[in-house]
Amino acid sequence: MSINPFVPQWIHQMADSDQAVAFFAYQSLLESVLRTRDEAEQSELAAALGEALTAQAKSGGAGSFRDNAFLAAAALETANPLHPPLVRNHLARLLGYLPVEKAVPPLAAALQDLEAREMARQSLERLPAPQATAALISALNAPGPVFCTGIIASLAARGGPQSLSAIVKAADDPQPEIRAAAVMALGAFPDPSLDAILERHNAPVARARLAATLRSAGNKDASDHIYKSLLAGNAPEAQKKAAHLALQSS
Amino acid sequence: MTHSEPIRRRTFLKGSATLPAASAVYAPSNPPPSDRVSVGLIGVGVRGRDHHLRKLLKNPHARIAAICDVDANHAALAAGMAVKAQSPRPLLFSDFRALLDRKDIDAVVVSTPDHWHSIIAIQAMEAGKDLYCEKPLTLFIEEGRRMVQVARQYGTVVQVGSQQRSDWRFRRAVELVRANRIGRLTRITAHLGNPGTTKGAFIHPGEWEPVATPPAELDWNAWLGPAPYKDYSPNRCHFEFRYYLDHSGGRITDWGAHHNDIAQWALGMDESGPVKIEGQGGFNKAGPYDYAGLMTVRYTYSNGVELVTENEGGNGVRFHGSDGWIFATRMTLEASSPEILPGPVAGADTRAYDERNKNEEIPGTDDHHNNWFDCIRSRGRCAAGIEAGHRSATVCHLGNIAMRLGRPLQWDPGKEQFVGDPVANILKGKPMRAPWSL
Repeated sequence: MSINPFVPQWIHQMADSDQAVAFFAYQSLLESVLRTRDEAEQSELAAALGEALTAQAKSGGAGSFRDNAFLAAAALETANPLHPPLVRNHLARLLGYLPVEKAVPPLAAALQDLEAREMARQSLERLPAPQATAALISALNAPGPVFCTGIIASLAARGGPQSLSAIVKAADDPQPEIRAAAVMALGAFPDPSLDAILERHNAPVARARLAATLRSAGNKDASDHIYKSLLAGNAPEAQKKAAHLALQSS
Repeated sequence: MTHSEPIRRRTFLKGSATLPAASAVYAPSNPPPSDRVSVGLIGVGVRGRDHHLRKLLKNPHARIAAICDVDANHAALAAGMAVKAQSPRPLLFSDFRALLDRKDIDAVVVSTPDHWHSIIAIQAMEAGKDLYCEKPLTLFIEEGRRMVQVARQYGTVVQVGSQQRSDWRFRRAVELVRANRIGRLTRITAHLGNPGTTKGAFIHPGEWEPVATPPAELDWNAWLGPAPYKDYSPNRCHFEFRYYLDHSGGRITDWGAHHNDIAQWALGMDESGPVKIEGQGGFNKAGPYDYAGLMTVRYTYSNGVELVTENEGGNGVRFHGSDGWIFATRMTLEASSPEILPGPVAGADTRAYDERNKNEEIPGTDDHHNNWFDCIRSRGRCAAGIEAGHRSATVCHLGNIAMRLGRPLQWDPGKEQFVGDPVANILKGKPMRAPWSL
């Protein structure tokens, strides 16, 4: 079995100036991706889409700056993607529907692509391969706090000790948006020791989330401990009510 | 709040889970303004204004305290309606988080595009507000479970906008089916075609428009929120969001959140769902709309009953039994023979509705809002509670996924997972655009 021979054509057509043609190409690729069940075929599709996602245009940029050595050197160092941002975003998205290891490396590389990294991040979030977690962690120091909050959300969604360790570190990030996202994300991990961090950050909503997570994981004692602390402290009325309800049902 | 504090009105409204029956504490007519539920409306497009705001302004149990929309024109139109009908004028917001920070708001109505529901709903519940959330409750399956967990944790009274549960025709049909008036139930058909016609649903592919600059009154980035970034075009925004799968589930969630919901109710599956799904959908490949305009989805439940969701056959829910059929629409209730419909329904287990939350009839308002207000006071479960809303939306999403994948799917409603299909399981979730997350 091999992939649909139209795949390369559809990849190029996604950049067509006629919106209907570009739409048709994306929908066709989407159908191919979603309806492929064979793992080998999925890997082949991932390879084709991944290659297009990271493809660079033939160099030539440096030549146009031959009178300026600095710009010529910069042009050589600068990525020059073959496909426009819209197409690269589509490709990154499509790769997220292919639950094979082969989908991870191009998405990991695309985390460096300022115009496609957000979609690459979202796709890595949903892929089952463990390598996706490592790729996301490696992007946690990327420029732009909003992007980093997305990385934190993805790591929280994926879970696991590697993710937790990265998010704990991010909870002390100097940038407030990153710190806030990390603190909230910690509520998703069933680890009672995290409450000390959340208490230090005065985060009652996240603490209530942690209490609920612990209770779902069967650690009722740790959950009750947090709820009692919320009830006794200066948490907002909503979190006190949640604590009251939880302790009442104990 | 500590228990030594004096009981304030909001505290009373929110902490009355242990109170006796609602009738003992709740005056049914013309409550004084101080006893009205202070409501914030989030999302005041056509649905938010023409349905919720219009009806709530007539409802003696509500006071519109705040209005929020990312389109300043919508907010201004809504505010104009409100100031004509009540005083004081509502507060206006463009960011729902600022509205949720208000401690003087008891409850919120979320009437935004679907891609915003879960984020706003969860933050509202965590801020201690009771919630009315438009249908479909969710854009994807996984967020629904999270919403249910938060509602339970906070003891939130939630009404989902599947208002057919408060329509006597559908309620009666459900009770008759449960009472075996048509014998053994074998099949339910949810017809999602245009109301008033036997022809198929309105299937329009949309029209391509050049990319445009968003109008000054619209915060386009905020409108998109957690959805993937797209350049602005008028026919993606506002009412037409429902034809794009990044913002909605298309026809099957738009109308399925009503008719599939009634099917789930009749089947007693409010906390469960089908076990097998097969779907055929006509996805428009020319764009710009990308939803399945044509559809036939067959769901099989563990008790052997089949639910068929399709465009044809008008608009309503038909119950097929071994001894007859019942067809319920928003206009009519019909049966295969006249003796099926009349008479009392025996047996408490056949009742579709919790009598403790029975509606109070208020002329000019509607039962679904009233049921919500009743439940806010009694802390009871609404006619369209959050678990039911999540499960009904899930049925619709399962149909979309089956149509997308073009293969039969096995669903485990207990674990809320597909069996043996990793791609289908990927489609249960939908990552959100930063900085938004649940």
